[in-house]
This record gives sequence, structure tokens and C-alpha cells, in this order.
Amino acid sequence: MNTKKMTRRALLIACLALPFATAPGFAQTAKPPLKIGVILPLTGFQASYGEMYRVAMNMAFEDINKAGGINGSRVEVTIQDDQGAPAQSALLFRRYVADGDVAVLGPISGSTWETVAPLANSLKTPALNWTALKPGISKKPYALRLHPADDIMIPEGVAEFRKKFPNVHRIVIAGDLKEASGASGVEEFRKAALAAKLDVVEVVGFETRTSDFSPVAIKIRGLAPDAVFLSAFMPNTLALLREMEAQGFQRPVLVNALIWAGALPQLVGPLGKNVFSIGFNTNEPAPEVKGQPEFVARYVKTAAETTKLPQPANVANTTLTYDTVMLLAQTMRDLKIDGNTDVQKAREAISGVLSSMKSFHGLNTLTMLASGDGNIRSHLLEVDVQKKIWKYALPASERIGK
Amino acid sequence: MIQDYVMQTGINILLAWSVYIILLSGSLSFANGGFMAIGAYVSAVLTVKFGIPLILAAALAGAAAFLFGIVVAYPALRTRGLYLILVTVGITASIKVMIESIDYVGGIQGFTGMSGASPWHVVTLVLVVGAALWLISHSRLQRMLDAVREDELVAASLGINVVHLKVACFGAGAFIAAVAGSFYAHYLLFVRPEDFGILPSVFIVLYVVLGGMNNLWGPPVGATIMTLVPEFTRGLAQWRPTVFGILIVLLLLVRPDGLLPFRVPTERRLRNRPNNP
Repeated sequence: MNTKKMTRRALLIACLALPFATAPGFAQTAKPPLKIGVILPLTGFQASYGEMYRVAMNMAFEDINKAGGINGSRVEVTIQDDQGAPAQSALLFRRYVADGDVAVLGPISGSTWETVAPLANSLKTPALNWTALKPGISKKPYALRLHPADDIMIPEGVAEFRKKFPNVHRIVIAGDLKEASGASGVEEFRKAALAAKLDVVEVVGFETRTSDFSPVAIKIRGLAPDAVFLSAFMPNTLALLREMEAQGFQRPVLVNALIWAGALPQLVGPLGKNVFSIGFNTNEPAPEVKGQPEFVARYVKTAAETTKLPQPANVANTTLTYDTVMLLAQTMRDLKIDGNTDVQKAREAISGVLSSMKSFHGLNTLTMLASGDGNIRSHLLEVDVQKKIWKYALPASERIGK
Repeated sequence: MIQDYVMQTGINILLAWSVYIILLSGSLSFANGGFMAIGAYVSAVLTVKFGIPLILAAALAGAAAFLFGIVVAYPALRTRGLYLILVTVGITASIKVMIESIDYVGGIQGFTGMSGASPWHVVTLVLVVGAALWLISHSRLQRMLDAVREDELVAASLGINVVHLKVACFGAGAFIAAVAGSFYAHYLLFVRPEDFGILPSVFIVLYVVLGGMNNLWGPPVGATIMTLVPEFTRGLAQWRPTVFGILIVLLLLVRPDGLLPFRVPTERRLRNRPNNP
């Protein structure tokens, strides 16, 4: 083969390879991947929550990698199951730190997050949460929660509840007083009710593991309130609603955001007509929010295809799950972090930016508070019994702060 | 990562031995989760609120649990069998409720601010407790404990103070569980009463049952398997708890006396063997 022929062939190969060389995929292989760890409860009683967040998280990482990764590095995600147990969350967090992950997303519940938050600061690794409700458990600069806590959400929900039910004056507050998240929800309901000049007749306690709610319902009925404020997980809420229905006691029940995520709208049936919760997103398309209708449609479709979640899948705060991943990706892009960056320096830089961040605009508009918690305006939600989804309880024009 | 496995396995081995040492005198305790809670909270308060070094705080927490253990042991050990199990379950539940009610340690909200536990603390403690149990197993004390475990009346007729021996074992078990709890709290950095319900106590007993309760090697084997198997089967995803449960059932079916059911012969038995010169 003569030299001219060889040169021509080399040029031809180079021309054919050019489109691949400029494509994002090529750039990705040029640099080591960026490792991010995710802690979700994929087994145990919180498994359905873990599953719904996993769908949104995979969507976000898929979008990031499709767009060329972060500064040329593909994002390598590892999702591990903590079973909703704090000790497991701590173990997994330490494992991710040892494995060189630049940041950890999750765990999700108040008790697991509260365990990991001090660890994140001790090990100087950013941890982001997008779900926990218990106030005062984030720890700057490394452990940040983008979700508003109960002390922000409950007063906003109670204010709209007052607007929807102006004739409600006497309320009973119920919840698990021996469980940290339940008890803090009860306390925030009490403060919000007093601020709204409602008469708190009594606080009724029960245990989360209780299966017989008849004594609780009898007690509440005996107190004859105009409404019930409840701090409880979905199984307790359903059990109490059934018992109240069986006893012919029908009053509005306002439950904190513990039931907003999860499958309550699909499972509650006709009992849902009296149920209200507090949240900042629903399955209803919100055309005024850029990208939200597309996200909702895609999320519901993906969840139907890839999970066994009750349909239509409840979108709830999965928009914030997506935002959390995008915020982390954006931060790393801005900091020019890639797979070659020293992991500890990357962690410190990410934490520095996120802990001093003022706001973020994604599918949600959130502002960051000095406590290390996010703040997103929340609203009163009710169940659309026919469609089996949450919907806003007040028309847009009447919502407070909209 | 290895350090975390060492830490968790070490703590669970100590907890398993804390049940084993009570079992030596023939009593089964489901109170060790509660003793662990005492250790975790007492040491956490001492290090966070009083600035006492971790090792000293752990020792003091162990002493507090020892005293608590012997106080509750006197009435508790009057009962036998199922009744004793129920009493020890009650002790764990009472300790949890007591901690939930004390605002000074955060009540149900939990307690944080601890730090400083390292795998070396736990490894050292495992070696110390293991050595102590090995010495006991080759001593006259082991024969006394065997006698008490097999037949209390006969043991008493031989001049053994059965009550003192059983109470001392209960206190020692409480001490070991509390020290393990101290390191657990300072490793996890955050504790809350819910962490010390009845379930951890059941798991601790399961370590011993699975490993074998007739010798000091069984409990650590059981604890190690039950700590590490779930970690190394994460690839099974949602099938992990099912597979783990089936594995335990199978092990108990195949080896009902535990993985290591043998008894360690004492020095005297070894000396009296016919082929021994």
C-alpha cells in the first residue's frame, strides 16, 4: 500500500470518527465518572416511597447523562436500600464516603435523615434530602434539606384550611406522641391552630403500630370537634378514617404532608372526600410552571411501565427529587467539577456553594433558609376521588401566597 | 468501609456475649437492648454535656448499667422460663419509656453531639471480653455456672450461692451491653429511644441461638453471620430480607443447637481425661 493511499484511508477514518468524537458520549469516556450515592428505603414499610423517588431520580440522572454528563464526566449512580432503618442509613452513608462518592442523596425519612445529618458534617460529605418533615434536623454546611419542614408547611396549610372552612372553630389534634415525626407534627399543628385562633379541644395520642383505631375515633367523636388535625402516616390515616366513617362521624381531617407522598389518593376511595393534606405539587398539570406538565406526564408513564406502584402514580414531591439531582448537577457544573477533581475538594466546594445558596428555580421555586432547610410555598390539597390524585383545595385565585 | 463492618460486627459480638454471660447461669435475657440504651444515653450525656473522655464515659455507663442490672435482677430472677423472658421484655420496654420521658436527653426527639468511637475501641473490647470469657470457661467458676444452669437445687446443696452467681452474671451482661451501647452511640452520632425497642433485644438473643449457646465461640459466630450476611447480599434487592429469613430458618432446622453447639471442656475435665499423663 503506497503512502498516498494510506493517508487517504486515515483521513476517511478520521472523517467518519468525527461525529462520534464531538458527541457527548465520547466526551464522557474521556474522563472518569462522577460517583453519587443514593439512600432509599426499597424494602420495609417505606418501600413504596423509596420506589416513587427512585423513578424520579433515575429520570433526572438519565437526563443528565443524555446531555453529556457533568463537565464531560458521566454520572455513576448507586442506589442502596436502607430499609428505613437509621443504623443502615448511617452504614450506607459511610460506605459511599469510603467509595469516593462526591455527594449522597437521602436518606428520606425524618429519623434516618436526623441520623445521617451529623455524620455528613463529621465526614465532610454533602448530603441532600428532599422529603423529611421534622423541623430542626438539618445541619449546615454539609446536611441540607430542600423540602420545607412541618413548621413551615403546617401554618400555610392551616391558613388555607381556615379559608376553605371558615365555620371551623373547635378542633382536635391527633398523632403518635411517642414517635419523633408524629409528635413534632402535633406540636406544629397546635402552634398553627392557636395562631389561627382555633380552639384546640384536646390532643389525642395513639401509637403508630396501633391497628385498632376505634378507641381513638370514639374519643374524637366524643369531643365533638368541627375538624380533626392529624399527624400520621398513611396506614394510620386510612385506619382512622375508616373508623370515623363506621361511627358515622364525618368531619374534615387535615393531615400533614406525611400522607401527601405515597398512595393514599389511589387507596382511600370514597373516604377521601373528607381528607386534606398540605403540599406544593399535584398530578394536575400546571402550565405556568415551566416543565411541570411534561414531568408529570413522563413520571406517571415511567412509573406505570417500571414499577408496581398504584396507578396513576402520585407525583407529589417527586418534582423536588428531580430538582435536587438537577441542583447538585448544576452546582458541580458551575464549580467545574469532573471525574478528575479531587473528591474531598469537590465535596467541600459543593457544600460551600449549596450552604450559601439563596434560591433555586427548577420544577419548583425554592428559597433556602438559614436553618439549612428549603422553603417552597405549600397549599391545601384534597383528594380527587374520581381521578385518584391530589388536587388543590382552593382555586388558584384564592390560594394564599400564590 | 472495612472499618464500618468491623465496628458493627464488633458491637454485635459484644451484645451477643452480654446475653451469653447471662445464659451461663441458666437465665435468658431480653433486657440487653435496654441495657444497651442505658449505656448509649449515659455515656452520651457524660461526653457531650460534661466533656468526659469516651473510654471513661463508657466505663461509667457500664457501671451504671451494672448497678441497674443487679437491682432489677434480684426480683426478676425469682421468676423462671417464660415468666423471666416476659420480665426482661418488660425491663427493655420500661427503659425505653423512661428515656422517652426524660427531656434532658431529648425525649422522643433523640440525642446527638457524640463522636470519637473508633473500630480499635471495639476490637480491643472484644479481645478483652473474649479473653475474660475464655479464662472463665477454663476455670472453677465455669463449673459452678454449669452446676447452676443444670440444676439450681443441686448447685445450692453443693454450697454454691446461686442467687449471687445469677445476679452477678446479669450485672456483667448489663455492663457489657452498656459498654457496647456507648460505642454504638458514639459511632452512630445520634440515638433515639426507638433504636432500643424490643426488636434489638430479640436480635441479640438470635445471635446467640444461631451461633450456639454452649460455648463462648458460638455467639460471635452468630453475630458475625447475622451482621455481615445482609450486607453481602444487597444485590438481592427486595429479596434480601426474604432470603435472610429463609437462611435463619434453615440454619435453625439443620443446626437446632446452633452452628457451634459443643461445650468447652474445663481444665479439670482436661486433666482428668484417661489418656492425660
